[in-house]
Amino acid sequence: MHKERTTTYAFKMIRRHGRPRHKEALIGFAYALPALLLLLLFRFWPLGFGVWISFWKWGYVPEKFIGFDNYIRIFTEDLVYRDPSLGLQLGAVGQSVLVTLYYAIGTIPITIVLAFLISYYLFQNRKGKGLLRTVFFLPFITSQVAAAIVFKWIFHPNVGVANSMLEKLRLPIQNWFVDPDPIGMKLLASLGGHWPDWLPIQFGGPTLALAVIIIFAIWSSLGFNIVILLAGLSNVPSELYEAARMDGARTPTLIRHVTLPMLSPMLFLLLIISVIGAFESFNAFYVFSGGEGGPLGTTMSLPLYIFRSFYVYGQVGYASALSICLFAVVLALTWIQYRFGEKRVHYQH
Amino acid sequence: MNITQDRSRLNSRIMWAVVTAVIIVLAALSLFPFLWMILTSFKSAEEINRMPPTVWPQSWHFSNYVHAWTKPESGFGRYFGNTLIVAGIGTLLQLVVCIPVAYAVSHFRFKGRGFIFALVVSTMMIPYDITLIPNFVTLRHIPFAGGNDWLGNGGQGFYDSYMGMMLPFFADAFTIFLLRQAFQSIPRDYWEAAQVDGMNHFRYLCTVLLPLSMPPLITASLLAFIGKWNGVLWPLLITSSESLRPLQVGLLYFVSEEGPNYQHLMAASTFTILPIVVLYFLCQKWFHAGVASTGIKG
Repeated sequence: MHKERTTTYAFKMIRRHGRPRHKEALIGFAYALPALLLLLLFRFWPLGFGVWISFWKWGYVPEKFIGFDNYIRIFTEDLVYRDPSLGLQLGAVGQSVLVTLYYAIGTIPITIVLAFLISYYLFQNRKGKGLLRTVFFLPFITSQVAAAIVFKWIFHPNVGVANSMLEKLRLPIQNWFVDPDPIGMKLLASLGGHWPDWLPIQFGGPTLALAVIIIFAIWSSLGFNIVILLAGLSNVPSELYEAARMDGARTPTLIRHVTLPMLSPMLFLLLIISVIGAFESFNAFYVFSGGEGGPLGTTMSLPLYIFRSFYVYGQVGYASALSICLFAVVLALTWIQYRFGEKRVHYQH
Repeated sequence: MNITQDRSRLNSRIMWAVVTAVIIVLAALSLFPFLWMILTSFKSAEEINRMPPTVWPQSWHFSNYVHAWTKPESGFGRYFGNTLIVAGIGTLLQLVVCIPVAYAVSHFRFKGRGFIFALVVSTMMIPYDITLIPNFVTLRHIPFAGGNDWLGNGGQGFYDSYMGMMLPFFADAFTIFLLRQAFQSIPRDYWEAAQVDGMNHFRYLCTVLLPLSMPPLITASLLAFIGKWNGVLWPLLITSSESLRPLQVGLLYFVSEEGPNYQHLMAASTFTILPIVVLYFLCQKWFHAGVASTGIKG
């Protein structure tokens, strides 16, 4: 009896509210539909379709299903290969991985440290804040193509202002975009040392051309990092500072024990965004080397290499296999950062 | 005690002065490329090839701008027009696609709402590079487009068209996220009141919700517009006709055509950057709010 009454009650509820509910769901889906379809087609579908393409020998049309051959080529020929006389050598993909790594290591720590210093300063110093923030933010919204052309001009080997500065300081002028020797090797040579024959010269660090790209990347992304950290700083409750000051803490202690822990979620976020960004870096590499990745492939980032395999050589299947590998690497790196970073990050709640 | 305190205060003063000096130097370095670009863009061919370089142009050659503007086959005017179409219409349609879904996940109550939002946000994890090649193939095979039959074969689809440059970016997770945050901050009571007035969802969205969410809407549009204005890789891939080139791609080709004539390259760079810088100065406060919100979401 009792049961029956509840069911009738529930039935009445459905009759009263059921239809509008049902209708609301329908309208809701209708509103979401265009975006969902586009996201499915241009974001999710590429994951599966990309894997499918990577199993093919695919020029401008699919030619032949070759299974894992593209991947086998990547890992046994292009990443590293065995030379009959020289032994294990770094292939073209291997070199572009190394270039991308140098780029990541060269840009990320410096950018984040500088951004922290500047945003901390701007946060304390309200007078010049707006103006300085604008100055640092301008490069971020500037077209990377145009800005890279300007940097190429600044570092022009014959009449560039960078070399003119070096000359004034009585330092040797540099052939920035042509010199294929890595910086480590040049330093060793200037100290009178000799680069060991058994070690591939790619391990001697970035070339000057890559160093210029690194400087460019720092210049270009600093403003973004600053704005994010400024937002983070303004979220730190001021009572924390006051309490610490009362206890006699001085600025360095304050930074170490209040600011940095409170800012750690933002810093962590920046780290993750920057690592993903480094593995997607294309524009600067393309402009500085005219799309060639020179000198001697030392500015061939992984995305540029993929682009060339696809666009210049028309190896669609192979390029797709590479981008799947790149995706796997980025996912793995993000996972590692979460795994080891999460513990060190202090969340406010 | 007093002396040590004084000393520490003096130390921190010195420290502060040093940091200030460093920051000013960094700011100068940050601005220098812009300054150098503008100065070079007015110099003569002879003057830019001097070593050491002159700082101030000896005579101002405005003709560099005329030369750069008219040099490419279709002229930079055409490239500007292309970019305005792609960035302007692209941003507009992006809003048309993203506003409804943001509205659906913030104001509707239905099963699957959370799932839809999770689906949207998870696309942020998919790197841009991996989508390039599949999207290229997909766009070539859109049925009935660009001479294709109903199976998507035979023609070139959206390859080499404005639509091809814009279509993959209409649905953008970040825009949806930003708009959802904005819509959520508006109380649901408004909707209940609007219902009493006999409004339907569409009218409520257009006449109440959107006017109340103007600042985040402007931020989202600005970020979308600038992203499209500065985009290179995708338009480079998906177009081949010279007359369809957007500004950035036109500039890339201009570099290879002009070679060592940096005074012309600097002029072209200047007018490529200028509109965005002006836009930035006009809408500064929305910019910072928008970029900061990318951080807050973490």
